Amino acid sequence: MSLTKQLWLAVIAIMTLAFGISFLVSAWSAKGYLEDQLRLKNSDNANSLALSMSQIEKDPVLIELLLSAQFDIGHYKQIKLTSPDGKVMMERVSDAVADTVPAWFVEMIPLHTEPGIAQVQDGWRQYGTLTVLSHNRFAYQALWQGNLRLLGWFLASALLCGAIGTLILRSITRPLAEVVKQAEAIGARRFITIAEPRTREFRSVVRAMNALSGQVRSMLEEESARLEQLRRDAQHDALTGLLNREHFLKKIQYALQDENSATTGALFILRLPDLIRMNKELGRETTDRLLKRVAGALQESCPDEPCLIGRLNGADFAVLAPDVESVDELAQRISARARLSINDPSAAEEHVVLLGAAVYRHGDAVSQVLSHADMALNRAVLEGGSAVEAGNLNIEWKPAASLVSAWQSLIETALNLKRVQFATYPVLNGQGQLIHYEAPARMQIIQSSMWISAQEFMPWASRLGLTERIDEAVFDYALVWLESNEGPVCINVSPQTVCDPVLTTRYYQALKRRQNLAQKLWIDIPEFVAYRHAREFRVFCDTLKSLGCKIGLEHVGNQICHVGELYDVGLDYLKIDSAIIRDIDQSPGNQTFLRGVCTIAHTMGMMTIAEGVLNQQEAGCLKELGFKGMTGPGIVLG
Amino acid sequence: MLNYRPFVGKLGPWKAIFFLLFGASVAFAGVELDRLLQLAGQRYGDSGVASVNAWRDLLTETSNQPDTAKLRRVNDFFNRRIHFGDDSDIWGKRDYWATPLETLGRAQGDCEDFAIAKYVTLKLLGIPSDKMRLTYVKARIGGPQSSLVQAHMVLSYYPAPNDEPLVLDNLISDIRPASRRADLTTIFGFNAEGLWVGGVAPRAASPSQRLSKWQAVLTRMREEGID
Repeated sequence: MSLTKQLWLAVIAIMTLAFGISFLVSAWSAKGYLEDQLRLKNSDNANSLALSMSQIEKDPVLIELLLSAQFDIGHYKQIKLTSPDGKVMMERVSDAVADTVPAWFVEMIPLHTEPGIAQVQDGWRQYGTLTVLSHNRFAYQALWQGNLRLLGWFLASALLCGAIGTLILRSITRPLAEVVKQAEAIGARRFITIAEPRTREFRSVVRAMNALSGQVRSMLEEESARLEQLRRDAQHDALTGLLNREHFLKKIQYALQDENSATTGALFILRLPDLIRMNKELGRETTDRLLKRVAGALQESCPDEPCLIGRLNGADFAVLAPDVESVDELAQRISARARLSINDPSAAEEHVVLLGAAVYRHGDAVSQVLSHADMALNRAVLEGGSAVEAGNLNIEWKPAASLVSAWQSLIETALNLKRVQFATYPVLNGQGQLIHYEAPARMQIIQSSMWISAQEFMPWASRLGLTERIDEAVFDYALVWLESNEGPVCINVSPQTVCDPVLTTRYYQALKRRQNLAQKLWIDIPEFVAYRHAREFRVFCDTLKSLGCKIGLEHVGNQICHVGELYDVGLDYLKIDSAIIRDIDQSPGNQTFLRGVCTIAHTMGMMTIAEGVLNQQEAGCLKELGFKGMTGPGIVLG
Repeated sequence: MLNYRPFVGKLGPWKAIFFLLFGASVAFAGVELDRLLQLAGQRYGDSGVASVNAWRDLLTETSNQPDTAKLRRVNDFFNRRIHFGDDSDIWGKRDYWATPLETLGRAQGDCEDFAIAKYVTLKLLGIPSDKMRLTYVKARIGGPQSSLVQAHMVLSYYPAPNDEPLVLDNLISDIRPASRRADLTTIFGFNAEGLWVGGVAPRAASPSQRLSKWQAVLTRMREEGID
């Protein structure tokens, strides 16, 4: 029972008790007072009537008139004259009076009124005894009305007390609601802190919970920092801090295949052919310093975020630049800065820097792109400096306007005809049971009735600013799908959707109407959104999680070191990027790293799911590392 | 019994012995003699104590006598012992109804005080109160032809409800039937019990009791030990 309800019950109980007591007290004191007054009235009136009768001639008619007159004009129940030997000489008795006083009230408060008795003299002789009894209905009437008024006042003051009490209680318990919310959040492993309320008891609770949250958070931060270290050890070159060969190649593959990657780009390979000689002449330490300077020069020349920079082997560096404006220009820049970084202007001899570049398109094979880059490098040896291998000389950097409008019409037609749907791939737990269906979008080309995958149309949709509409179509289709299908489904949401409050509200309202479906809807959000749009991300999660949706991050990997910052979100799961999962059974460094990820995710109440699992070896290893779910080509339901 | 000690000397040794031996037998229902004596001593000194003792002796001696003897002895006792005086002289008030103790203590009183003291004494001696009336009368003073009249109060005694009453008056020493009191004209008589409302003793706590002179006397009497 809520506190307010209990307060009202208490008020009612106290008021009833108070009314009962004051009713009794007032009724009994009024009873005493009224009885007294009636007795005096009886006595005084009896004596004054007897006095009048004593003075006059004892003519029975005259006496009777006097008695009747007194009776008729006053308020009497009975006036009686008895002779000295006890016989009734004359008597007047009133009829019953009809009034609003209920019988039980009269019965509860009996008014005993003594009659007034006086002697009537006839000279020295006694003429008779006069008995006068006033009516007490008037007293009852007054008493009844008084008690009704009392009841009215008590009811009014009970309401007033209750209302005031409710207001006070509300102001007292307002911080309590916050405290409860925090406790529930911590129960759901969302380690939030709140401002300390003024109420002392609440304050100590909140202080304790804030302290707990703080400890968990700092523990998460330490864990994350350790994870970051593990990740760097596994994926980065120890000397320069650039991506190591293994990880860089995985990244190229991802860039060429992932649906969200740019459609075109360039791969640059920078070679220092003099490295062995330099090592001999300058010594190990100096060479290492020069290598670091080259790495720094590469980072400076490619400040854009999507650029990936790695060290392929001792003398070879690589830069992957998706969606680059001008390959030649960037090649010049990289080459010039690298040369500057390792050459002393005053030195007689110049260290040579070779640069080969290859242009790629989305979907090209990694080996093909690498061999193109190698070819360009070979040409650079001949041409002395840098060379670009365009692969296909007709490559179009900017897609033709006609192509853009063709895609636009294809996508919009599909959207209008509701031909944007999704395919389903199972995500299973360690026992082979379904967790949910992964649902990447697909779209039908109306003309050919052919369904194409997200990889093909999403880059175009992104360029055309249609991702939100596609998200919406997928969401709508998910609701329809869930009406007729059992298993939970997991849809993708783009950064644009997460940051759009209007669309968030639309999702919320659609799901609020069908809460049973909300329980079965999982939503994947790209990892970087959680950090780059932290505020909008939290609003999105709070809004939809309140309906029972499960929300998690997909393609988790690069920014795992920040996962501790999500202590207050209460995410349900993390999907670990396939670039890290690939060949996990052969990569002890990544194993250590992922074991740490699983531990920290578990601490924060999140499930870990591996993306892109290819085979049973990987699956077995992942299970051992603590993964609760897996998906990918190697994972098949039942 | 300890309360008697201060008075032993004043009572004389024989009476004290008698009192100690028979004290219980001379106690009257409705009278706290100890308290009366103590109050008389405090308020009126030796003469007060003597009056109360004499009154006690009267009660003791007449308690077994017939009603007519009781009437005569009581009438004589008060008519002889109490001197008539105006309320304004005695009490400094225009009209004051004194209790028997006050009347005995001062040995002074006006007509109501006589009537009240006689009524109370006779009631203590067992005369039923419905046989007695305190009667307001108009008294002609100075013989049958006199035109001098005065408001007066007497105690009337009715041997039977329809009988002619006997009049106990402080103006004359005899008790005479009403028919032989041509000088008195009745105005109104009241039965003291009637004012007590049905014979129920008034509650001392009730402030209304003080409003009536008669009730005031009764209340004071009870405080002094006569109930």
